[in-house]
Amino acid sequence: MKDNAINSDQFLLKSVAEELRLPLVQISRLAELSRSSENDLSSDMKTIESSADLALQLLESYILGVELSDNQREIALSPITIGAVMNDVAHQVHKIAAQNNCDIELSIKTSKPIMGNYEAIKMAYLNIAHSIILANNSQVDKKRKSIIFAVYGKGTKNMAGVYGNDIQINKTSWEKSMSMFHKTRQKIPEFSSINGSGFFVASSILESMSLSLHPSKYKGNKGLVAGFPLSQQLQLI
Amino acid sequence: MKELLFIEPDKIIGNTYLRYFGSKNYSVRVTGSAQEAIILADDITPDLVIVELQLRLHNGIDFLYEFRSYSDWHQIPIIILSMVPSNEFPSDKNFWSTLNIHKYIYKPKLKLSSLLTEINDITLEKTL
Repeated sequence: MKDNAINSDQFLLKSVAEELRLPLVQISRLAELSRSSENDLSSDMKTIESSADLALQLLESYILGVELSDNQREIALSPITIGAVMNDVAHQVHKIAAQNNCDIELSIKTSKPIMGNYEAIKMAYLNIAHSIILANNSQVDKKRKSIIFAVYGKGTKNMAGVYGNDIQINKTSWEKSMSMFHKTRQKIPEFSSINGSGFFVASSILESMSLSLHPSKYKGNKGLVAGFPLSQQLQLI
Repeated sequence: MKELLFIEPDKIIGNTYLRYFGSKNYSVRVTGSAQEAIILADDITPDLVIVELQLRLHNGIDFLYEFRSYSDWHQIPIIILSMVPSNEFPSDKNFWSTLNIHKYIYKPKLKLSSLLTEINDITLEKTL
């Protein structure tokens, strides 16, 4: 049992390390190109900044996921609304989305409070959003891309999902990705060249809060969603 | 002008190829799709194909087998330039020689200037 846990951690670390190669290669190539070019470099500098920010984001999230799962960091809960978290995430990914020709849509249908850790949930959703935007970044399809941040009520839960108009993920492919996590480099073949570490890091952060990600559909777009139980005590306030 | 066809799924990296090799007197085409690469190759008959193995929906190896299945393209040199280290494939040299792969290069370790040297050598060799 313990061996499996160790292997799982090692595979996640390896997966994150492999995923970090992409932004580092991007930075290295752009820096080399800038040295050999006399053109205006401001656009390249912006791309370098974004690539570095994405790499740092993934690293920070990975560290948070490890610390939460090892109980090295306490999950302090406070009353929050998932809509506020998603709004924050949408603003934070705005620049990267724009650079990747991806429109952002916010669809907040409920503002019922829950008990949760704002920063950890935000970190998880930032990773999902970045992975979806980068998956959309492939050169395969030239159509305009969009990403939707949706929050809606379902029974005793607030559902929070991130969806893309060019995401092909469904129940079968997600389950396959999770089961292939330890065995393959390109864990989600539908997602271009990224290996999907952002999804797995997000999943590990949410799991440490007893939440789970699963594929779903919203307004015809596919993506990943998690259900946050409503706090009965907060409902009384 | 020599035609280079890059199959590269990442837009940022693909754009650096377009700009760098375009400034070195090469005609450069970049696509992230194996399917589009076949159509482009049919259109331009490239002097050299440079391919990443991790492609969306496709396995780069499948692309290589399909590309080599067309007799007109048997002799077009191919470089694999991939994030996947070569040691993850069989060490048997026949594995790559059956696909007539000119060279396997691990992407993180190669600078654009070194790739230019490789490309110059191959396209010059082809001219001679």
